[in-house]
Amino acid sequence: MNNIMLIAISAILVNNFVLSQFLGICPFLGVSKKLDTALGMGGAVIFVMTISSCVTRAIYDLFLNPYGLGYLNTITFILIIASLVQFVEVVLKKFIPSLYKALGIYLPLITTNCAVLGAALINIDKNYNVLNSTLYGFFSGVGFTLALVLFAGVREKLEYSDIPESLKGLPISLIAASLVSMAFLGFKGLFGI
Amino acid sequence: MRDIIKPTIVLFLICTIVTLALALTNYATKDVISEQTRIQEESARREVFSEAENFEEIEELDSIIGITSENRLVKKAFKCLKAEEVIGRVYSIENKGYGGTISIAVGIDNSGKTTGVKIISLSETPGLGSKVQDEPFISQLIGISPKEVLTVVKGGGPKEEEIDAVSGATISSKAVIEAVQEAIDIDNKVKEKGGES
Amino acid sequence: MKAIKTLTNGILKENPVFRLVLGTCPTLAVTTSAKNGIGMGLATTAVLMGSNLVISLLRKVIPDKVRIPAYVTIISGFVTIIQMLLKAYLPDLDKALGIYIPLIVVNCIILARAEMFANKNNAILSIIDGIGMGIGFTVALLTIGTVRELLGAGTWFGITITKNLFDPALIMILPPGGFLVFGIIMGTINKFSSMNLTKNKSCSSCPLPCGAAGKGEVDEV
Repeated sequence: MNNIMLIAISAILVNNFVLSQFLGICPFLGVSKKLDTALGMGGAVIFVMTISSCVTRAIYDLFLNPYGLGYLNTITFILIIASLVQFVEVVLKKFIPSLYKALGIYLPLITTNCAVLGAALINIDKNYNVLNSTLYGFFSGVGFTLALVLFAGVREKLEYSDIPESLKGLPISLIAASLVSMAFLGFKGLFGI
Repeated sequence: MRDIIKPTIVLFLICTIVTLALALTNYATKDVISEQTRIQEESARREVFSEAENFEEIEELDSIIGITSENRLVKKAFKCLKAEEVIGRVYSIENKGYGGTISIAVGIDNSGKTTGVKIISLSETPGLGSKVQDEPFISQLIGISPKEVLTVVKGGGPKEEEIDAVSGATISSKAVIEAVQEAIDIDNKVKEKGGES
Repeated sequence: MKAIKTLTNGILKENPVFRLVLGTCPTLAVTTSAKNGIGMGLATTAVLMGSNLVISLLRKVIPDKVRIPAYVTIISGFVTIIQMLLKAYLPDLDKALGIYIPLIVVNCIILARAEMFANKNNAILSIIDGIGMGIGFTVALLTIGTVRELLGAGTWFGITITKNLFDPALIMILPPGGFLVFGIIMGTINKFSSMNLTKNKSCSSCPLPCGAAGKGEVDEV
């Protein structure tokens, strides 16, 4: 239980994927313009990341590691993630059309979201077992969503501010992201993580 | 039907060729990589115990300490030999720091004095936690023979057991100090139980 | 002539980092020092050249339907090879870049160049495009790395430079500094260049990976 708490706090706050590990910056800057798209993207990422963390770890333990094929992990993981995204899309479309409608357009973008592959690789790096990997994937997804939603709030305000011409668009977003990231720096050392 | 077969075959071929290429590269670089790791470990051992001519791994470490390797920080221990005589031991230790595992080599001579402490790898925050591998922090741990447990004291204390932490990086500093402490504790056990022979 | 244009295109006019805004993750993550920036840039350049060459050669063979999975497979092959070579011959750099080496696979630049350039042009031009884009990426990473290392640690390539001038501001090599330096450099470039390309640009401009154009990108694997 304690362990789960530690993974959760570490993944969501202290080592937030976006704001302190720089994973998934593309969607972070791309789909954080509005609150509802941020939520949609976040939901889709949580979904895929949880499943992919579990599956990639299991496959690594069952097929790659025992046969000394650890070096194939990058290529295997990216193909697993790609097919998984495709699979999730088909299943959702068929059985839960309402959820598909909400997450559908974000799903294909997730394949190349480095946060998903990043989580899979970090799980191997940190030597988590399948259960912890799944949890880590889930909580990292939650952390990603939190960053996205918070930043969407900041950006909606930015729309109405008067800023220098040359900073409009991405530059000011990056500077704002810097401030949000600084706020997350405050979680450093929380519970000794 | 052709629409399905051709893409499948092409994709299959690409996967096979890529996998073959990887297997080949792996075969070619495998030995170099393990050699690199070996050289790195060897040179770290030399650095923390420069007097030694040879190092010999203590194989029976599990039974000497009585704790399995998953439950302790010290992963490996080596006897330092000079002219066939054991003049000390080097321990390789892994401890959890702020950003991940810190691996450390600690050399201790027969009198219980630390001859050297070297951070082999860490993933601490650059410029903050990463300072534990630099002066002036690391030199506080070298050349001491602590009688008491090492403690972290702000600004450092008069006793050699009182270590001044890197400011803003208490967790990383504690991780290193804890590792050195465990090396000293285990060294005492190893000495008692005939690691000297 | 076209070759020279292709080469300079990647370095200046379509600089992948400051102009096309591709590959932001490694740009921010590894630029804590100039050395890491250059290492990452060169590793990416190597992958980019290799993948551009192979994809260009195979552009008539790979069926349109499965091109993305095929590209991803080829790219991850090259990335893994580079990773193993780095482990074997430059272990220090491998340790410094860590997880961001395998993550080159999902670096938008590589897939984007494959999709936008390599599958439409011949092999030689594709390699040149790879080199140009790679240099552009490396220069950008080096610039950000230099600024962050100078301000945040007072050093450049590990050599102490500003010791007596000011106390380094640690925040610059921490994550917030990455965002800040990147944003300010991008703004400065906008200020002094006639066309403000990044104004309405977000990742949706990214042809495949991040933007909405990525729909249906993975057909079957």
